[in-house]
Amino acid sequence: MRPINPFFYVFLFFNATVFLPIVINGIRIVSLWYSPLADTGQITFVKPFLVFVIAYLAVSVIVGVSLYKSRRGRFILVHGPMRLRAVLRATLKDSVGRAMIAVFVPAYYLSFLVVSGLLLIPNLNVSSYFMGLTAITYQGEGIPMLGDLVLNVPLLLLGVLNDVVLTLSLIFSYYVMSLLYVSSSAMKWAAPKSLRMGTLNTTAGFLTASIPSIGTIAGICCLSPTAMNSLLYLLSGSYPALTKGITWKYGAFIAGAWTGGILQAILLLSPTIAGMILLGVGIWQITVISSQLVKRSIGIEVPQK
Amino acid sequence: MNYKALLIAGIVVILLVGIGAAYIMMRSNTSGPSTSTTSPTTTTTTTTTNTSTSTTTSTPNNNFYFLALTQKGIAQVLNPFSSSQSFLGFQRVENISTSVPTQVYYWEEVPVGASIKYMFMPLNNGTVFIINTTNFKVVKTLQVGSSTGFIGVAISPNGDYAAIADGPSGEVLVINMQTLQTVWSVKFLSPTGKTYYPCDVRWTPDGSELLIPMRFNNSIDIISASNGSVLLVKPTSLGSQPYMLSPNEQGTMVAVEFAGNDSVGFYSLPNLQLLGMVQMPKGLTAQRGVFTPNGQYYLEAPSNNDTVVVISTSNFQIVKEIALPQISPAGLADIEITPGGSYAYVVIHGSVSAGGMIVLISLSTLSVSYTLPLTTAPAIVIPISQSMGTYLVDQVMLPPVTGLHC
Repeated sequence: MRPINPFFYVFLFFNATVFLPIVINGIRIVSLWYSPLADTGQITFVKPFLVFVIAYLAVSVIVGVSLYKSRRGRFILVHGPMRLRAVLRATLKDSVGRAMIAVFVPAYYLSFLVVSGLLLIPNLNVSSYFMGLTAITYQGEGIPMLGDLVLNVPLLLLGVLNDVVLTLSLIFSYYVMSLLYVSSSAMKWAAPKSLRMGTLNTTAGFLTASIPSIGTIAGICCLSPTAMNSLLYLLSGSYPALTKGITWKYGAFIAGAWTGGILQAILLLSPTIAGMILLGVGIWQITVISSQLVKRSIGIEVPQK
Repeated sequence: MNYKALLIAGIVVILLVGIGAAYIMMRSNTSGPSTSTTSPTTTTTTTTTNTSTSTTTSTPNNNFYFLALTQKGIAQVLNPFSSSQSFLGFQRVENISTSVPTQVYYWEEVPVGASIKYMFMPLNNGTVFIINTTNFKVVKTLQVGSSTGFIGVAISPNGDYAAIADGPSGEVLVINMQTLQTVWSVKFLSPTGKTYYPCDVRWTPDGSELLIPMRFNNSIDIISASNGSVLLVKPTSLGSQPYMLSPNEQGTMVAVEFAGNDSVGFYSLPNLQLLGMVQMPKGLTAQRGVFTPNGQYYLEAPSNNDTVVVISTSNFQIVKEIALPQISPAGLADIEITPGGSYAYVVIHGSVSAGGMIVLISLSTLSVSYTLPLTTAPAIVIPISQSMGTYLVDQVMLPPVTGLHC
């Protein structure tokens, strides 16, 4: 059984963590809309958003098929014993590894900003009709904005944390995928657990990228006394129980009962936390498999007497 | 199992997610109120029917019709007391597409019994159409701000002036109802130029002052009706966000709806001293209310549920919740008192596709008296005299049709 082409694995991981959350976020926005301020006109958002999604999918299919069929791979050579730090260093020294990181890190962070509603992009995470109102409401809530970027420090830091974790996961999983791929071609080994591992990491990456957005974002904001997501109020007509409940927790937080905000944040962040745990499991698996491969390699290249 | 097959299945799943997203979006769009590409001028609709659900012991004043402006710009004359023919006539004032978020917005105060030459049709994007009530033609169009958001209009008690407050731009202006010229205009902005978001305006009963909630300044302001100068600023608690208010007919009390904490505050007039604060029942968002003519109760119409909360103004306690017919999406646009003070009427905005409803609540029994289901989505409803209604139906408007939406 041939293992997955490592570049194709990177492609899948990229789509699961960068693109898919944006699509799901778009569905949420359409279903919530801005009732009762405006109950009609969803098509003004849906049409340009679908154009973006379809265009991306078209390009993505072409890239995916070519990567899947490609026989090329890139194994990053690790000097010395197989340790996570050694893999990290080797990836950063390798030109392909650096290029991979240079693309993924900003792409994921951009996706995070879009999905969390921190970066307002017309027709991607907010209807162009409500751009002005959204900005006004943010500012009215005391959240500063820099252009279309909402300066909500806790959420921005959460994005950095997510980005770091996902990038590390990508590096380690890419290493072991390429190791399996190259080893398989060279030595006719069976590819142990490559598919399961790839699936686990991709799923974990997607979960980690599933950060709270729009109305639920306010739960994270509760961690900051000055932060309160104003999109909450645009949605309060539709989901008052949720949004107003969070508002009360925010009020309780600044009054001193901060546990409400913390618990709310944990609840809302549960997919991300679960994703990070799964990524940890994935990295552990990688170390185990890598060690096995190294042992097997030694066993084959140095036959026992 | 062949891993290639699984990989292909994975790609198919990703594609299906994309296609599924498109399908869900299109489906929600077509099933929702907005996606109809049919011209809003379609003239086919069901005749509305009304149902008497209770009777009152005193003799109520039923000598009025309703003039309704729908979300997409249709004017309708309605008889709330006829079970056989409640929909009397209609005219399209403006053609607002169902494919855009623009719509007529909800808050227009017209003094009971006033004979007005013009009426206003505010849109949520700051456009305000001024309509000649004798022929229902737009005679003037104002642009108050340029951003989508809350906007409110109030006609003075003597009918001589109209005040408009636009939240997104922070602009408040007064229009002369005879000349349609702007008497004065003031922008309420923070020192850094951000709007204080005055999204509602009401006249004091003597017509000398305007009451305005400044949502993002967390204050209630009283300003001079003659020149717009600020007379009194009453700060409210941080994050409380006062965004709607209504004075009583006696001019002694004003109720303020707070968006930040789902409560209704009661303040004395003219000093704005806090008299009481009422927390709304769990899950209800206070939006618009009205005092009963004797000032004994305050009827609160939540924005997210088809129910009316009755608050006593003597002890500031909730004394009753009046359940209304349930319409999706739930939520009330407005509540006002009918001429003669026999009823409070509630506007359930509903949706463009499914329609809304007007409900009359008897003030003597505090229960639902009449329901007037509509195939259209009402935004602004104003009581008019029967003679004016008859004139409009006979001389100006088109006869009722079935299948009328918007």
